[in-house]
Amino acid sequence: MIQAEHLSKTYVLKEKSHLFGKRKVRQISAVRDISLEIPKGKITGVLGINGAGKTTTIRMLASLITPTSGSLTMDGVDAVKNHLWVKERINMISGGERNLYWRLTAQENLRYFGSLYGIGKKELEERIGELLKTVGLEEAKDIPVERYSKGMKQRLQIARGLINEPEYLFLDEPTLGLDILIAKEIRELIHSLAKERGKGILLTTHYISEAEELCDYIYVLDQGQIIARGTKEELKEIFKVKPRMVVQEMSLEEVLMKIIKRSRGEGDGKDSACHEGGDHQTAAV
Amino acid sequence: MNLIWSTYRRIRTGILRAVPWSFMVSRITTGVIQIIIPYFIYVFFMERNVTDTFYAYAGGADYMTYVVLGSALNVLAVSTLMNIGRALITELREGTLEMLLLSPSPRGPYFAGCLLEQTTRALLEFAAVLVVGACCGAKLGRIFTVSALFAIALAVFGFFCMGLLLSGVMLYTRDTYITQNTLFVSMSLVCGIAFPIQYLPQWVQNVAQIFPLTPAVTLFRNVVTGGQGLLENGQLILQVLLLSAVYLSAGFLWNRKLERSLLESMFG
Repeated sequence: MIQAEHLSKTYVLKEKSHLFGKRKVRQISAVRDISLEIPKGKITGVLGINGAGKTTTIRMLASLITPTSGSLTMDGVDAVKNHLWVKERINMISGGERNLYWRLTAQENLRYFGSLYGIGKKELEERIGELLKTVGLEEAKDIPVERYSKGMKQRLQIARGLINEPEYLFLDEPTLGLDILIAKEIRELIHSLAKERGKGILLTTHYISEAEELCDYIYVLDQGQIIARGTKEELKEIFKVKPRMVVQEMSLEEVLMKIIKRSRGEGDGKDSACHEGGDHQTAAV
Repeated sequence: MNLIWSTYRRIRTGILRAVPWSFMVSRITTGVIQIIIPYFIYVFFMERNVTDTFYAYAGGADYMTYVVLGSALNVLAVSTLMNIGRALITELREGTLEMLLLSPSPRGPYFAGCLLEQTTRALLEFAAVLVVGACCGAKLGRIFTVSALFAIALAVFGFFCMGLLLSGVMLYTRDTYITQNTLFVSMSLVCGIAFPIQYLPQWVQNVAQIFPLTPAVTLFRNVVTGGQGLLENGQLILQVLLLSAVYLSAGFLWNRKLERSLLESMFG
Protein backbone atom coordinates (compact mmCIF):
# COMPACT_ATOMS: atom_id res chain seq x y z
CA MET A 1 0.00 0.00 0.00
CA ILE A 2 1.13 3.54 -0.70
CA GLN A 3 0.47 5.70 2.31
CA ALA A 4 0.81 9.47 2.33
CA GLU A 5 0.48 11.31 5.60
CA HIS A 6 0.20 15.06 5.95
CA LEU A 7 1.90 15.72 2.61
CA SER A 8 2.43 19.33 1.67
CA LYS A 9 4.15 20.90 -1.28
CA THR A 10 5.19 24.51 -1.55
CA TYR A 11 6.75 25.75 -4.75
CA VAL A 12 9.25 28.56 -4.49
CA LEU A 13 9.08 30.73 -7.57
CA LYS A 14 11.83 33.18 -8.39
CA GLU A 15 10.68 35.87 -10.76
CA LYS A 16 12.35 38.83 -12.40
CA SER A 17 10.34 41.72 -13.77
CA HIS A 18 13.06 42.44 -16.36
CA LEU A 19 16.57 41.25 -17.22
CA PHE A 20 18.44 43.27 -14.60
CA GLY A 21 15.53 43.53 -12.19
CA LYS A 22 15.59 42.34 -8.62
CA ARG A 23 14.55 38.75 -8.19
CA LYS A 24 11.28 38.31 -6.34
CA VAL A 25 10.68 35.12 -4.43
CA ARG A 26 7.12 33.91 -4.29
CA GLN A 27 5.83 30.83 -2.49
CA ILE A 28 2.87 28.88 -3.77
CA SER A 29 1.28 26.25 -1.61
CA ALA A 30 0.12 23.69 -4.18
CA VAL A 31 -0.83 20.89 -1.78
CA ARG A 32 -1.55 21.22 1.94
CA ASP A 33 -1.62 18.47 4.52
CA ILE A 34 -3.11 15.68 2.50
CA SER A 35 -3.25 12.10 3.70
CA LEU A 36 -4.30 9.29 1.44
CA GLU A 37 -3.87 5.59 0.80
CA ILE A 38 -3.55 3.58 -2.39
CA PRO A 39 -4.17 -0.10 -1.64
CA LYS A 40 -3.26 -2.84 -4.11
CA GLY A 41 -6.11 -4.19 -6.19
CA LYS A 42 -8.16 -1.02 -5.74
CA ILE A 43 -8.74 2.08 -7.82
CA THR A 44 -8.36 5.26 -5.81
CA GLY A 45 -9.71 8.41 -7.36
CA VAL A 46 -8.49 11.96 -6.88
CA LEU A 47 -11.03 14.44 -8.16
CA GLY A 48 -10.93 18.17 -8.36
CA ILE A 49 -11.14 21.09 -10.69
CA ASN A 50 -8.12 22.51 -12.56
CA GLY A 51 -5.49 23.81 -10.15
CA ALA A 52 -6.83 21.73 -7.26
CA GLY A 53 -3.43 20.08 -6.75
CA LYS A 54 -4.08 16.72 -8.43
CA THR A 55 -1.00 16.72 -10.65
CA THR A 56 1.31 17.88 -7.86
CA THR A 57 -0.08 15.09 -5.67
CA ILE A 58 0.55 12.48 -8.37
CA ARG A 59 4.09 13.76 -8.96
CA MET A 60 4.88 13.58 -5.27
CA LEU A 61 3.46 10.08 -5.00
CA ALA A 62 5.47 9.07 -8.08
CA SER A 63 8.70 10.41 -6.52
CA LEU A 64 9.14 12.94 -9.30
CA ILE A 65 9.13 15.82 -6.85
CA THR A 66 9.92 15.89 -3.15
CA PRO A 67 7.24 16.83 -0.64
CA THR A 68 7.98 19.92 1.45
CA SER A 69 6.68 18.10 4.51
CA GLY A 70 4.86 14.93 5.48
CA SER A 71 5.69 11.27 5.03
CA LEU A 72 5.26 8.93 2.10
CA THR A 73 5.70 5.17 2.31
CA MET A 74 5.30 2.32 -0.13
CA ASP A 75 4.75 -1.09 1.42
CA GLY A 76 6.29 0.29 4.61
CA VAL A 77 9.41 1.68 2.91
CA ASP A 78 10.18 5.41 3.06
CA ALA A 79 9.40 6.44 -0.50
CA VAL A 80 11.16 9.82 -0.31
CA LYS A 81 14.52 8.41 0.78
CA ASN A 82 14.26 5.32 -1.43
CA HIS A 83 12.88 6.95 -4.55
CA LEU A 84 14.87 4.71 -6.91
CA TRP A 85 13.38 1.62 -5.26
CA VAL A 86 9.95 3.20 -5.62
CA LYS A 87 10.52 4.05 -9.28
CA GLU A 88 11.10 0.39 -10.09
CA ARG A 89 7.65 -0.44 -8.75
CA ILE A 90 5.53 2.34 -10.17
CA ASN A 91 4.64 3.88 -13.48
CA MET A 92 2.54 6.73 -14.72
CA ILE A 93 0.17 7.15 -17.64
CA SER A 94 -0.94 10.63 -18.60
CA GLY A 95 -3.65 11.70 -20.96
CA GLY A 96 -2.66 13.52 -24.13
CA GLU A 97 -0.09 12.70 -26.72
CA ARG A 98 3.19 13.32 -24.92
CA ASN A 99 5.49 10.82 -23.24
CA LEU A 100 6.19 8.88 -26.43
CA TYR A 101 8.86 9.14 -29.11
CA TRP A 102 6.80 9.96 -32.17
CA ARG A 103 9.36 8.96 -34.76
CA LEU A 104 9.73 5.49 -33.29
CA THR A 105 7.30 2.63 -33.78
CA ALA A 106 5.28 1.17 -30.90
CA GLN A 107 7.71 -1.70 -30.63
CA GLU A 108 10.75 0.59 -30.63
CA ASN A 109 9.17 2.83 -28.00
CA LEU A 110 8.49 -0.11 -25.72
CA ARG A 111 11.99 -1.50 -26.27
CA TYR A 112 13.49 1.83 -25.23
CA PHE A 113 11.28 2.35 -22.22
CA GLY A 114 11.92 -1.27 -21.19
CA SER A 115 15.66 -0.66 -21.34
CA LEU A 116 15.23 2.27 -18.92
CA TYR A 117 14.06 -0.32 -16.39
CA GLY A 118 16.95 -2.66 -17.10
CA ILE A 119 14.73 -5.47 -18.38
CA GLY A 120 16.64 -8.29 -20.13
CA LYS A 121 16.28 -8.59 -23.91
CA LYS A 122 14.42 -11.90 -24.02
CA GLU A 123 12.03 -10.99 -21.21
CA LEU A 124 11.47 -7.58 -22.74
CA GLU A 125 10.55 -8.98 -26.15
CA GLU A 126 8.06 -11.37 -24.56
CA ARG A 127 6.56 -8.57 -22.49
CA ILE A 128 6.30 -6.25 -25.50
CA GLY A 129 4.45 -8.94 -27.45
CA GLU A 130 1.98 -9.46 -24.61
CA LEU A 131 1.43 -5.73 -24.05
CA LEU A 132 0.87 -4.97 -27.72
CA LYS A 133 -1.72 -7.75 -27.73
CA THR A 134 -3.35 -6.41 -24.56
CA VAL A 135 -3.74 -2.90 -25.96
CA GLY A 136 -4.62 -4.08 -29.47
CA LEU A 137 -1.64 -2.62 -31.31
CA GLU A 138 -0.11 -5.84 -32.65
CA GLU A 139 -0.82 -4.98 -36.26
CA ALA A 140 0.40 -1.39 -35.88
CA LYS A 141 3.56 -2.26 -33.98
CA ASP A 142 5.90 -1.31 -36.83
CA ILE A 143 4.25 2.00 -37.71
CA PRO A 144 5.87 5.19 -36.37
CA VAL A 145 3.79 6.74 -33.58
CA GLU A 146 3.43 10.02 -35.49
CA ARG A 147 1.00 8.21 -37.79
CA TYR A 148 -1.12 6.91 -34.93
CA SER A 149 -4.54 8.23 -34.02
CA LYS A 150 -5.04 9.77 -30.58
CA GLY A 151 -6.63 6.56 -29.30
CA MET A 152 -3.75 4.42 -30.56
CA LYS A 153 -1.24 6.73 -28.87
CA GLN A 154 -3.15 6.46 -25.62
CA ARG A 155 -3.21 2.68 -25.88
CA LEU A 156 0.52 2.70 -26.47
CA GLN A 157 0.91 4.93 -23.41
CA ILE A 158 -0.86 2.25 -21.40
CA ALA A 159 1.50 -0.40 -22.75
CA ARG A 160 4.42 1.87 -21.87
CA GLY A 161 3.05 2.33 -18.37
CA LEU A 162 2.92 -1.43 -17.89
CA ILE A 163 6.35 -2.22 -19.37
CA ASN A 164 8.00 -2.60 -15.95
CA GLU A 165 5.04 -4.55 -14.53
CA PRO A 166 4.44 -1.88 -11.90
CA GLU A 167 2.74 -2.67 -8.64
CA TYR A 168 1.22 0.79 -8.56
CA LEU A 169 0.00 2.87 -11.49
CA PHE A 170 -0.71 6.59 -11.54
CA LEU A 171 -3.23 7.55 -14.17
CA ASP A 172 -3.48 11.27 -14.87
CA GLU A 173 -6.55 11.92 -17.03
CA PRO A 174 -6.00 8.70 -19.02
CA THR A 175 -9.05 9.15 -21.25
CA LEU A 176 -8.55 12.86 -21.93
CA GLY A 177 -9.81 13.77 -25.40
CA LEU A 178 -10.62 10.21 -26.45
CA ASP A 179 -13.80 9.17 -28.21
CA ILE A 180 -16.38 7.24 -26.25
CA LEU A 181 -15.50 3.83 -27.64
CA ILE A 182 -11.78 4.08 -26.95
CA ALA A 183 -12.44 5.67 -23.56
CA LYS A 184 -14.71 2.74 -22.68
CA GLU A 185 -12.06 0.22 -23.77
CA ILE A 186 -9.47 1.99 -21.66
CA ARG A 187 -11.77 2.11 -18.64
CA GLU A 188 -12.31 -1.65 -18.97
CA LEU A 189 -8.56 -2.17 -19.14
CA ILE A 190 -7.98 -0.01 -16.04
CA HIS A 191 -10.64 -2.00 -14.19
CA SER A 192 -9.04 -5.31 -15.10
CA LEU A 193 -5.57 -4.07 -14.13
CA ALA A 194 -6.80 -3.46 -10.60
CA LYS A 195 -9.22 -6.30 -10.17
CA GLU A 196 -7.54 -9.10 -12.12
CA ARG A 197 -3.88 -8.15 -11.88
CA GLY A 198 -3.98 -6.67 -8.39
CA LYS A 199 -2.37 -3.33 -9.20
CA GLY A 200 -2.90 -0.35 -6.94
CA ILE A 201 -4.21 2.45 -9.14
CA LEU A 202 -4.49 6.15 -8.51
CA LEU A 203 -6.76 7.84 -11.02
CA THR A 204 -7.30 11.52 -11.60
CA THR A 205 -10.02 12.50 -14.00
CA HIS A 206 -12.30 15.33 -14.94
CA TYR A 207 -14.97 12.86 -16.01
CA ILE A 208 -17.07 12.26 -12.93
CA SER A 209 -18.92 9.37 -14.56
CA GLU A 210 -15.56 7.70 -15.11
CA ALA A 211 -14.66 8.07 -11.44
CA GLU A 212 -18.07 6.77 -10.45
CA GLU A 213 -17.68 3.74 -12.70
CA LEU A 214 -14.14 2.85 -11.68
CA CYS A 215 -13.14 4.17 -8.27
CA ASP A 216 -13.40 2.16 -5.10
CA TYR A 217 -12.50 5.16 -3.01
CA ILE A 218 -12.45 8.85 -3.85
CA TYR A 219 -10.58 11.87 -2.52
CA VAL A 220 -11.89 15.28 -3.47
CA LEU A 221 -9.25 18.00 -3.69
CA ASP A 222 -9.76 21.73 -3.78
CA GLN A 223 -7.16 24.46 -3.42
CA GLY A 224 -4.58 21.86 -2.45
CA GLN A 225 -6.57 20.30 0.35
CA ILE A 226 -8.69 17.21 0.68
CA ILE A 227 -12.19 18.47 1.27
CA ALA A 228 -14.00 15.12 1.16
CA ARG A 229 -13.20 11.44 1.02
CA GLY A 230 -15.02 8.15 0.90
CA THR A 231 -16.61 5.58 -1.33
CA LYS A 232 -19.04 6.97 -3.85
CA GLU A 233 -21.88 5.88 -1.56
CA GLU A 234 -20.26 7.65 1.40
CA LEU A 235 -19.76 10.81 -0.63
CA LYS A 236 -23.41 10.79 -1.64
CA GLU A 237 -24.27 10.30 2.02
CA ILE A 238 -22.61 13.63 2.88
CA PHE A 239 -25.62 15.44 1.48
CA LYS A 240 -28.00 12.68 2.50
CA VAL A 241 -28.84 12.05 -1.10
CA LYS A 242 -31.70 9.64 -1.13
CA PRO A 243 -32.22 7.33 -4.08
CA ARG A 244 -35.13 8.44 -6.18
CA MET A 245 -36.73 6.94 -9.16
CA VAL A 246 -36.55 9.07 -12.24
CA VAL A 247 -37.38 8.45 -15.82
CA GLN A 248 -34.46 9.61 -17.86
CA GLU A 249 -34.22 9.78 -21.57
CA MET A 250 -31.31 7.90 -23.04
CA SER A 251 -28.31 10.20 -23.38
CA LEU A 252 -26.89 11.01 -26.79
CA GLU A 253 -23.66 9.24 -25.76
CA GLU A 254 -25.56 6.02 -25.16
CA VAL A 255 -27.45 6.39 -28.41
CA LEU A 256 -24.19 6.92 -30.27
CA MET A 257 -22.65 3.85 -28.66
CA LYS A 258 -25.62 1.74 -29.74
CA ILE A 259 -25.50 3.05 -33.30
CA ILE A 260 -21.78 2.31 -33.62
CA LYS A 261 -22.12 -1.14 -32.10
CA ARG A 262 -25.06 -2.00 -34.35
CA SER A 263 -23.24 -0.87 -37.48
CA ARG A 264 -20.22 -2.97 -36.45
CA GLY A 265 -22.43 -5.96 -35.77
CA GLU A 266 -21.24 -6.14 -32.17
CA GLY A 267 -24.07 -7.78 -30.20
CA ASP A 268 -27.53 -6.33 -30.68
CA GLY A 269 -26.43 -2.77 -30.03
CA LYS A 270 -27.78 -2.86 -26.49
CA ASP A 271 -25.42 -1.25 -23.99
CA SER A 272 -25.15 -2.67 -20.51
CA ALA A 273 -26.00 0.73 -19.09
CA CYS A 274 -29.33 0.68 -20.89
CA HIS A 275 -32.36 -1.20 -19.84
CA GLU A 276 -34.23 -3.50 -22.11
CA GLY A 277 -36.51 -1.61 -24.34
CA GLY A 278 -33.65 0.73 -25.02
CA ASP A 279 -35.50 4.00 -25.13
CA HIS A 280 -35.17 5.07 -21.55
CA GLN A 281 -33.40 4.04 -18.40
CA THR A 282 -34.15 4.07 -14.74
CA ALA A 283 -31.33 5.39 -12.63
CA ALA A 284 -30.64 6.14 -9.02
CA VAL A 285 -29.60 9.77 -8.66
CA MET B 1 25.52 -1.33 -21.65
CA ASN B 2 21.97 -2.12 -22.69
CA LEU B 3 20.84 1.42 -21.95
CA ILE B 4 23.80 2.93 -23.81
CA TRP B 5 22.98 0.90 -26.89
CA SER B 6 19.23 1.45 -26.71
CA THR B 7 19.69 5.22 -26.27
CA TYR B 8 22.03 5.19 -29.27
CA ARG B 9 19.47 3.29 -31.36
CA ARG B 10 16.57 5.46 -30.24
CA ILE B 11 18.29 8.72 -31.23
CA ARG B 12 19.74 7.33 -34.44
CA THR B 13 16.41 5.86 -35.60
CA GLY B 14 14.63 9.16 -34.86
CA ILE B 15 17.18 11.18 -36.81
CA LEU B 16 17.22 8.86 -39.80
CA ARG B 17 13.42 8.93 -39.99
CA ALA B 18 13.32 12.72 -39.67
CA VAL B 19 16.12 13.59 -42.06
CA PRO B 20 17.14 10.43 -43.94
CA TRP B 21 19.82 11.90 -46.24
CA SER B 22 19.71 15.69 -45.97
CA PHE B 23 21.32 15.46 -42.57
CA MET B 24 24.37 13.68 -43.98
CA VAL B 25 24.67 16.22 -46.80
CA SER B 26 24.44 19.05 -44.30
CA ARG B 27 27.18 17.56 -42.12
CA ILE B 28 29.55 16.98 -45.01
CA THR B 29 28.87 20.39 -46.56
CA THR B 30 29.58 22.11 -43.24
CA GLY B 31 32.87 20.25 -42.98
CA VAL B 32 33.88 21.13 -46.54
CA ILE B 33 33.04 24.83 -46.18
CA GLN B 34 34.98 25.08 -42.93
CA ILE B 35 38.12 24.33 -44.92
CA ILE B 36 37.36 25.93 -48.28
CA ILE B 37 36.97 29.45 -46.83
CA PRO B 38 40.33 29.53 -44.98
CA TYR B 39 41.93 27.87 -48.02
CA PHE B 40 40.81 30.72 -50.31
CA ILE B 41 41.97 33.31 -47.78
CA TYR B 42 45.32 31.58 -47.37
CA VAL B 43 45.97 31.01 -51.08
CA PHE B 44 44.48 34.11 -52.72
CA PHE B 45 44.74 36.82 -50.05
CA MET B 46 47.77 35.74 -48.07
CA GLU B 47 49.46 34.10 -51.08
CA ARG B 48 50.60 31.30 -48.77
CA ASN B 49 52.64 33.72 -46.64
CA VAL B 50 52.54 33.75 -42.85
CA THR B 51 54.74 35.60 -40.40
CA ASP B 52 57.65 34.03 -38.58
CA THR B 53 55.83 34.45 -35.30
CA PHE B 54 53.04 32.24 -36.65
CA TYR B 55 55.54 29.51 -37.44
CA ALA B 56 57.01 29.89 -33.98
CA TYR B 57 53.60 29.71 -32.27
CA ALA B 58 52.36 26.89 -34.52
CA GLY B 59 55.42 24.73 -33.96
CA GLY B 60 56.54 25.03 -37.56
CA ALA B 61 53.22 23.93 -39.09
CA ASP B 62 51.97 25.51 -42.27
CA TYR B 63 48.72 27.45 -42.06
CA MET B 64 46.47 24.92 -43.82
CA THR B 65 47.61 22.06 -41.61
CA TYR B 66 47.14 24.31 -38.58
CA VAL B 67 43.59 25.30 -39.57
CA VAL B 68 42.50 21.83 -40.67
CA LEU B 69 43.54 20.21 -37.39
CA GLY B 70 41.94 22.99 -35.38
CA SER B 71 38.70 22.90 -37.36
CA ALA B 72 38.50 19.11 -37.21
CA LEU B 73 38.71 19.09 -33.41
CA ASN B 74 36.38 22.07 -33.19
CA VAL B 75 33.78 20.05 -35.13
CA LEU B 76 33.96 17.33 -32.50
CA ALA B 77 33.81 19.90 -29.69
CA VAL B 78 30.74 21.68 -31.04
CA SER B 79 28.89 18.44 -31.87
CA THR B 80 29.61 16.84 -28.51
CA LEU B 81 28.81 19.91 -26.44
CA MET B 82 25.67 20.62 -28.42
CA ASN B 83 24.26 17.10 -28.39
CA ILE B 84 25.13 16.20 -24.83
CA GLY B 85 24.19 19.66 -23.62
CA ARG B 86 20.75 19.68 -25.15
CA ALA B 87 19.88 16.00 -24.68
CA LEU B 88 17.65 16.57 -21.66
CA ILE B 89 16.13 19.82 -22.85
CA THR B 90 15.19 18.04 -26.10
CA GLU B 91 13.44 15.38 -24.02
CA LEU B 92 11.63 18.21 -22.23
CA ARG B 93 10.53 19.79 -25.49
CA GLU B 94 9.41 16.49 -26.97
CA GLY B 95 7.47 15.66 -23.80
CA THR B 96 9.47 12.59 -22.81
CA LEU B 97 11.59 13.99 -19.98
CA GLU B 98 9.06 13.14 -17.32
CA MET B 99 9.06 9.47 -18.29
CA LEU B 100 12.84 9.38 -18.35
CA LEU B 101 13.03 10.87 -14.87
CA LEU B 102 10.26 8.61 -13.63
CA SER B 103 12.36 5.56 -14.47
CA PRO B 104 15.10 4.37 -12.12
CA SER B 105 17.69 4.46 -14.92
CA PRO B 106 21.01 6.16 -14.14
CA ARG B 107 21.97 9.21 -16.19
CA GLY B 108 25.51 8.00 -16.97
CA PRO B 109 24.57 5.31 -19.53
CA TYR B 110 21.92 7.61 -20.97
CA PHE B 111 24.48 10.33 -21.68
CA ALA B 112 26.97 7.73 -22.89
CA GLY B 113 24.36 6.57 -25.43
CA CYS B 114 23.89 10.17 -26.57
CA LEU B 115 27.67 10.51 -26.86
CA LEU B 116 28.02 7.34 -28.89
CA GLU B 117 25.32 8.41 -31.32
CA GLN B 118 26.52 11.95 -31.81
CA THR B 119 30.19 10.95 -32.08
CA THR B 120 29.45 8.57 -34.95
CA ARG B 121 27.68 11.44 -36.72
CA ALA B 122 30.31 14.04 -35.88
CA LEU B 123 33.09 11.75 -37.14
CA LEU B 124 31.55 12.09 -40.59
CA GLU B 125 32.02 15.84 -40.49
CA PHE B 126 35.44 15.36 -38.88
CA ALA B 127 36.44 13.06 -41.74
CA ALA B 128 35.10 15.55 -44.31
CA VAL B 129 37.26 18.30 -42.81
CA LEU B 130 40.35 16.10 -42.90
CA VAL B 131 39.77 14.81 -46.44
CA VAL B 132 39.10 18.27 -47.87
CA GLY B 133 41.98 19.62 -45.80
CA ALA B 134 44.34 17.00 -47.21
CA CYS B 135 43.17 17.92 -50.72
CA CYS B 136 43.96 21.57 -49.91
CA GLY B 137 47.49 20.71 -48.91
CA ALA B 138 47.30 19.99 -45.18
CA LYS B 139 49.94 17.52 -44.04
CA LEU B 140 48.06 14.88 -42.09
CA GLY B 141 50.40 11.91 -42.43
CA ARG B 142 50.44 11.15 -38.71
CA ILE B 143 46.67 11.30 -38.21
CA PHE B 144 46.35 7.51 -37.95
CA THR B 145 48.94 7.03 -35.22
CA VAL B 146 47.99 5.74 -31.78
CA SER B 147 48.98 9.09 -30.27
CA ALA B 148 46.67 11.04 -32.58
CA LEU B 149 43.77 8.66 -31.98
CA PHE B 150 44.38 8.93 -28.23
CA ALA B 151 44.35 12.72 -28.49
CA ILE B 152 41.00 12.58 -30.34
CA ALA B 153 39.47 10.20 -27.78
CA LEU B 154 40.76 12.30 -24.88
CA ALA B 155 39.37 15.45 -26.46
CA VAL B 156 35.93 13.87 -26.97
CA PHE B 157 35.95 12.76 -23.34
CA GLY B 158 36.75 16.30 -22.24
CA PHE B 159 33.96 17.75 -24.40
CA PHE B 160 31.56 15.13 -23.05
CA CYS B 161 32.31 16.11 -19.44
CA MET B 162 31.83 19.77 -20.22
CA GLY B 163 28.62 18.89 -22.04
CA LEU B 164 27.20 17.34 -18.86
CA LEU B 165 27.54 20.66 -17.06
CA LEU B 166 26.15 22.47 -20.06
CA SER B 167 23.16 20.13 -19.98
CA GLY B 168 22.29 21.33 -16.48
CA VAL B 169 22.76 24.96 -17.50
CA MET B 170 20.51 24.54 -20.54
CA LEU B 171 17.83 22.79 -18.53
CA TYR B 172 18.01 25.34 -15.75
CA THR B 173 17.84 28.34 -18.06
CA ARG B 174 15.64 26.47 -20.57
CA ASP B 175 17.71 28.08 -23.25
CA THR B 176 19.75 26.49 -25.99
CA TYR B 177 20.50 29.34 -28.37
CA ILE B 178 22.40 31.77 -26.17
CA THR B 179 24.03 29.01 -24.15
CA GLN B 180 25.32 26.94 -27.01
CA ASN B 181 25.88 29.52 -29.72
CA THR B 182 27.60 32.09 -27.54
CA LEU B 183 29.77 29.40 -26.04
CA PHE B 184 30.72 27.84 -29.35
CA VAL B 185 31.61 31.11 -31.03
CA SER B 186 33.64 32.17 -28.01
CA MET B 187 35.46 28.85 -27.97
CA SER B 188 36.33 29.02 -31.64
CA LEU B 189 37.74 32.50 -31.04
CA VAL B 190 39.83 31.86 -27.94
CA CYS B 191 40.84 28.19 -28.10
CA GLY B 192 43.31 28.40 -30.98
CA ILE B 193 41.26 26.98 -33.83
CA ALA B 194 42.16 29.32 -36.70
CA PHE B 195 45.10 31.20 -35.19
CA PRO B 196 47.47 30.73 -32.24
CA ILE B 197 46.05 32.05 -28.97
CA GLN B 198 49.35 33.84 -28.31
CA TYR B 199 48.01 36.66 -30.49
CA LEU B 200 45.26 37.26 -27.93
CA PRO B 201 45.61 39.36 -24.74
CA GLN B 202 47.05 37.44 -21.82
CA TRP B 203 43.82 37.46 -19.82
CA VAL B 204 41.93 35.94 -22.76
CA GLN B 205 44.61 33.27 -23.04
CA ASN B 206 44.07 32.51 -19.35
CA VAL B 207 40.30 32.27 -19.80
CA ALA B 208 40.85 29.92 -22.77
CA GLN B 209 42.50 27.41 -20.44
CA ILE B 210 39.16 26.52 -18.83
CA PHE B 211 37.96 24.96 -22.08
CA PRO B 212 39.18 21.39 -22.73
CA LEU B 213 39.41 22.34 -26.41
CA THR B 214 42.46 24.57 -25.78
CA PRO B 215 44.86 21.93 -24.43
CA ALA B 216 43.24 19.21 -26.60
CA VAL B 217 43.83 21.04 -29.86
CA THR B 218 47.43 21.84 -28.89
CA LEU B 219 47.99 18.17 -28.03
CA PHE B 220 46.42 17.09 -31.32
CA ARG B 221 48.66 19.41 -33.32
CA ASN B 222 51.76 18.42 -31.36
CA VAL B 223 51.30 14.74 -32.15
CA VAL B 224 50.16 15.18 -35.77
CA THR B 225 52.36 17.99 -37.04
CA GLY B 226 55.12 18.01 -34.45
CA GLY B 227 55.49 14.23 -34.43
CA GLN B 228 55.64 14.26 -30.64
CA GLY B 229 54.71 11.36 -28.42
CA LEU B 230 52.17 11.37 -25.62
CA LEU B 231 54.81 11.40 -22.89
CA GLU B 232 56.16 14.69 -24.17
CA ASN B 233 52.69 16.16 -23.74
CA GLY B 234 51.95 14.92 -20.26
CA GLN B 235 51.07 18.38 -19.02
CA LEU B 236 48.45 18.91 -21.73
CA ILE B 237 46.96 15.45 -21.10
CA LEU B 238 46.84 16.20 -17.39
CA GLN B 239 45.13 19.51 -18.05
CA VAL B 240 42.41 17.85 -20.17
CA LEU B 241 41.93 15.16 -17.52
CA LEU B 242 41.73 17.70 -14.69
CA LEU B 243 39.25 19.86 -16.54
CA SER B 244 37.24 16.74 -17.40
CA ALA B 245 37.19 15.66 -13.76
CA VAL B 246 35.99 19.08 -12.65
CA TYR B 247 33.28 19.30 -15.32
CA LEU B 248 32.22 15.67 -14.78
CA SER B 249 31.90 16.07 -11.01
CA ALA B 250 30.20 19.44 -11.26
CA GLY B 251 27.85 18.21 -14.00
CA PHE B 252 26.80 15.05 -12.19
CA LEU B 253 26.52 16.61 -8.75
CA TRP B 254 24.69 19.64 -10.02
CA ASN B 255 22.32 17.62 -12.17
CA ARG B 256 21.60 15.19 -9.35
CA LYS B 257 21.02 17.91 -6.80
CA LEU B 258 18.98 20.09 -9.06
CA GLU B 259 17.08 17.42 -10.98
CA ARG B 260 14.09 17.51 -8.68
CA SER B 261 14.10 21.25 -8.22
CA LEU B 262 14.41 21.59 -11.99
CA LEU B 263 11.37 19.41 -12.32
CA GLU B 264 9.55 21.60 -9.87
CA SER B 265 10.48 24.73 -11.76
CA MET B 266 9.31 23.06 -14.96
CA PHE B 267 6.10 21.56 -13.71
CA GLY B 268 5.33 23.71 -10.74
